[in-house]
Amino acid sequence: MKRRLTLTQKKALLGYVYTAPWIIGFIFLFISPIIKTAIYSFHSFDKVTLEPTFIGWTNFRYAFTGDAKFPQVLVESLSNLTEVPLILIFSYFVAILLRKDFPGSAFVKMIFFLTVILSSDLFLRMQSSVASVNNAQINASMQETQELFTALQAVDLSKYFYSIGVPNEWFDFINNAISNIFFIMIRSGVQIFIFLAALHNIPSSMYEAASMEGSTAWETFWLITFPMTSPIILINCIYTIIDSFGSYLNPVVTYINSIAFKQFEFGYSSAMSWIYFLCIAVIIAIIYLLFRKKIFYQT
Amino acid sequence: MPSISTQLNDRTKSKIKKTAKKAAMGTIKAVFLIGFCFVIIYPVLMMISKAFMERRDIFDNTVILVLKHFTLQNFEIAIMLTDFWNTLVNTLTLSAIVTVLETVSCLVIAYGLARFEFKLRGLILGLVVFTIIVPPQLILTPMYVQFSNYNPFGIMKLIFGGSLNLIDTYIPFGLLAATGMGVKNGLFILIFFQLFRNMPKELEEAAHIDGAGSFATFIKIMVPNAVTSIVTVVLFGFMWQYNDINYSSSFLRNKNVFSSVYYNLERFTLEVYDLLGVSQYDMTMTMYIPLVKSAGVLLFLAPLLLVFLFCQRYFVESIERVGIVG
Repeated sequence: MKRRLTLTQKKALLGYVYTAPWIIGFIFLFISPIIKTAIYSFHSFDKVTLEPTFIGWTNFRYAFTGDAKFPQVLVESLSNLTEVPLILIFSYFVAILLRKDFPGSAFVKMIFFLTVILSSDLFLRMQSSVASVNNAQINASMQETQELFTALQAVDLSKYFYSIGVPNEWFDFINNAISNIFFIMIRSGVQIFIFLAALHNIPSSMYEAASMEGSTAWETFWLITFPMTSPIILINCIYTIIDSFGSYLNPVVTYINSIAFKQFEFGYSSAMSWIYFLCIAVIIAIIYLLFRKKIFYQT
Repeated sequence: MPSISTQLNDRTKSKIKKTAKKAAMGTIKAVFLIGFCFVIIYPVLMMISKAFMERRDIFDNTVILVLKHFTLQNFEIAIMLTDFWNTLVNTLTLSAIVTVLETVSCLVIAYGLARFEFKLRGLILGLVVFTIIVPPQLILTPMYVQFSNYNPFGIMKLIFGGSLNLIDTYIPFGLLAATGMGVKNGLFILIFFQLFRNMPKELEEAAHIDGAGSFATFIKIMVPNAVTSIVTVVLFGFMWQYNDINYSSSFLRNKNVFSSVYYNLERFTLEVYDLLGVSQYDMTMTMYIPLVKSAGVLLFLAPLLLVFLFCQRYFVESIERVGIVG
């Protein structure tokens, strides 16, 4: 006769039953492809028969020494990370502005929510080509206007900054941020709403206590709001990084896909994906380890 | 001893100061928000205006946003180039199938993780986060090979007498969604996990005493309490699948979905030149491409925008309440 299970054992078994689809998917549709990619990366594939031949580290060596484009796009996509702090600061700022309801706040929230839809790769791809239509329009007829336009656009901010002693590199960063403001805003849609949820979750009793003690708004922000939301800042930071790495607009992603599915160089594209993944993992690990201790967890 | 009048004066002064401060802060806030909203809305308005713009207006510099000549021809060409109606049906079917499957599977998986104690739970939770971090490029190539020659454990060979080619079908997407491995599904599992975790244990115990099994508890207690999160996940899941390029460009080679026909918008066919009555070597046609693109992208985004307009209130409120807080 079969021994009857205790309640705890039964519950444990049910737990496995409910998570079974995930476990199956993880093994067959996630881990096994990752391992296969690792194996592929040491092989070269015949383009017709797809017969693999073992070639050792050649693919990895080629990525850094033979291929001129890969290191370039890799650096380009890593330098996109400078936008992460901008996105975080911007979305935090907007979340704080939207925290309290005011007349018209529903409408403003709606517009910010629109960015979640607009951040689709389709729209962003078109936006990057819209810049060219503006130029075309201008080039076509009025050369003079264009000169005026560019002069106005820059307002020679760079000269101004240079004259007050801001180093050029700093200015490049700021200038970049200003010219990319639209892309930064459009990529911070989800983050804004995650921050808003976090702000709403801070118990109001804390603010009441602070105002009883006579703290100023500035102190309240740095002593209550910021520490209470710090775990969410880390989550948002990692989310932003993953989002920018997975985006189809990312040059590395485009390059890997074109190698894999247009030229059918499965071995080389696998090697590149692994290099790319290791870069991401290292960056996320560094950020996590650096900021883990700074985070305030309410107990 | 200060007179009563000066005291009063001081009080009104501080009151005025306070109101002035408030008004100033309000103005600053309004300036920021209006500015941000403008930056977001402006490209959308530009896109709409371009979509309806006539060809001769491209060279008219006085035309900005407000059009002199209004036309639907751009849409006509975009529809022609992208085989719009077929593509729309494909995209909507694919997104609907995937959304339903992944919502159900993520609910079940999150329920299992949140309400049952078992040995591997911590490990599985960690791995769920891991699935979010890994870029799809790492798994797409072997998956393409696997699905183009699908034969797990030789089962397919037994049933169909050979391996199956699942490329250009929706089955790979269905398999991924049903096992919680689709686009950003790890995130959905975490959202549901957070919610189920915070539900009081008494609810479950009461159901158990009333004789409900774990599955009945799930259907009758857990799911009805998760409606807001389900709406959020359904809408996000639909949107992300609708916009996805990574998976659809590798699993659908000859079947069109919106994300794969985008580049058709800039490859004008002979019919387009015939329709417009211009020669194929007309250089100004390169400047016409953005207008067609605007019309095309507007058409692609139209279903999403419609859903958004209808649900936005619910949407915004629910996501504020859900969050990934913890």
